[in-house]
Amino acid sequence: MECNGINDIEIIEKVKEGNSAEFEKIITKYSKMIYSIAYRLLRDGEEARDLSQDVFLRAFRFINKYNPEFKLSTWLVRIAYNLYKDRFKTKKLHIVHQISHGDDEEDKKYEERFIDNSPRPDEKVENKMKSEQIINIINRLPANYKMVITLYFWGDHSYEEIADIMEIPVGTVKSRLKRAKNYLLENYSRLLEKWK
Amino acid sequence: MNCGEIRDIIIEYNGKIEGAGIKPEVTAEINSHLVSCRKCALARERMLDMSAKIACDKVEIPANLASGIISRVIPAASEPVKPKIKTVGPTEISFIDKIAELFGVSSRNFAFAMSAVVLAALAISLILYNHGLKSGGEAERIANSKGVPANESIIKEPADKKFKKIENEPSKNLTAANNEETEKKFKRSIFTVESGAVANLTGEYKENELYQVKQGEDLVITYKKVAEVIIKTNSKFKVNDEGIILESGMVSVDLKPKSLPGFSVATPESVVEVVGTIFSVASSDNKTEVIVKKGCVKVTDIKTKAFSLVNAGESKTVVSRQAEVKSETAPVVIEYGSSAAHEAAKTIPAGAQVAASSTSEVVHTAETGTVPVGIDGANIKDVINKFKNENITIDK
Repeated sequence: MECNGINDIEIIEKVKEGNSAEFEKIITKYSKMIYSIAYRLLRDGEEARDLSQDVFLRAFRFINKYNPEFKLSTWLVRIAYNLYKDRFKTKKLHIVHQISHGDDEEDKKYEERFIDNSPRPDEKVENKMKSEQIINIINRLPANYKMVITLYFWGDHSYEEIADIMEIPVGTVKSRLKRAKNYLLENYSRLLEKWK
Repeated sequence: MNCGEIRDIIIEYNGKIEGAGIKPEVTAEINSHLVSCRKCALARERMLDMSAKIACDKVEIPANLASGIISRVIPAASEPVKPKIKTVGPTEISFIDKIAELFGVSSRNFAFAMSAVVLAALAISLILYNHGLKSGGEAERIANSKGVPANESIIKEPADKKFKKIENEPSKNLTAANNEETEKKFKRSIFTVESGAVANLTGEYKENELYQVKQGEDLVITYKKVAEVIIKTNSKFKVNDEGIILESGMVSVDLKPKSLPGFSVATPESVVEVVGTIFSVASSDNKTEVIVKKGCVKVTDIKTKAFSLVNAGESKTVVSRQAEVKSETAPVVIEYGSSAAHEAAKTIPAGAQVAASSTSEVVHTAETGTVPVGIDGANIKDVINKFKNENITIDK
């Protein structure tokens, strides 16, 4: 909660009192984190920058609603998640694939959508391609699963923090994470089998 | 541990079995399983590989990210944030505060109380308005029962008010009403035969084809969740655009009030229209008797076209040959399927139309025997339309 030696709460109190310049410190401290999450959710630099900007704009406007019981970072990520969900719904930036188990036909269609059927690549670039394909798989997860995966693998958040951010029970976080990881593993395995 | 359990652990810990805080004995068991099970070992290997690749994903942060956001956010939100501290001085006391002070309550509570009063007033107005409309309907009913047409009712005012709007904008309002009614009818889902069967049905029900319910079975048809039609064993019936035509036997209909307005059941002697009522109709030897348990029904003599309204607790006997309509008070409500109903059925003359307005029961006795028919609150035309226009699914 410390920001350049000053507590976040103190900064927020100053902003609440009308000192908007103090908010710059919060932007400076958290913009990278918010941008990283936004980028991983959107996979587009411009979109991620816009989302980050919207997050801080909203945070600034609704600073009075900030609950000090939560970490400021948790609150900001929650705003980011809500904005992302709104964009996801309105702009339909991604093709959502529902996580399903045992639906081979559906999985096959899904696989065909994004797996490159070109000949097996050189080993040199294989790793990079694998990484890209994993990201592709993650990108096609539904918004709530994608958010869990993003926060878990890249956000360095605990289950409890993820639950606070997404405003869902911890148990739901765990079950979503398990299903999402299981799904990723299945598709990754299928990809590797195809490349053999 | 089986493969499924091992796989769950692999997924939970991203393939990192050692150093993940798992009990040593469990770790040992997992490791021994992985040695013997190639599939699980492969899953673990891939999970490790996948996790590593995900972790390697880096995001390039734009150089001027923070300054860019600051330059956009701070001016955009340049309006100073309102201080949270609220200062209340004597000069800020509003008119409401003063009145609240007079009543000795806080301005907030006073505002709540005033809101409640306004809402209550609105609710009362609404109730009174509805009551006014119902009075119009009541006038119509009374007028009908006295043989006076509705528009010449002795209680004219409410009825006039009710119809005034339509007179002012006849085409628009009537068209809208018709559209709404059509929409209601044709949007309804299909009937489903829940149990029972007819002896001679092949495929869908056909218009004006005579069907007979199988011996020892009641044909139970549901319509969404608002209507249940039971056609008793051995009953003979047809379906057409007008609804169900009961040749002989008994039909019991149970409908939610107002769910299928205007629902009716026809017998050779009568038509029973349901408007939210429970009633029974028995028909035999040129007589039809209608006993109303709840609400109000409209009984129409098919030959003379004369109709009358029968209220709850009343019964009506229609003799078709003489076209006589007798009314009498029925202190006892005859339950559907009861022996009393059957007894009543034997005394009912044929040749009447019966119309009601909600949940109803009709008992119709044919020459060959007593056949009870039950209806519960809707338009028979709707029901019949369902039979004709929509596919009837046969569950059995």
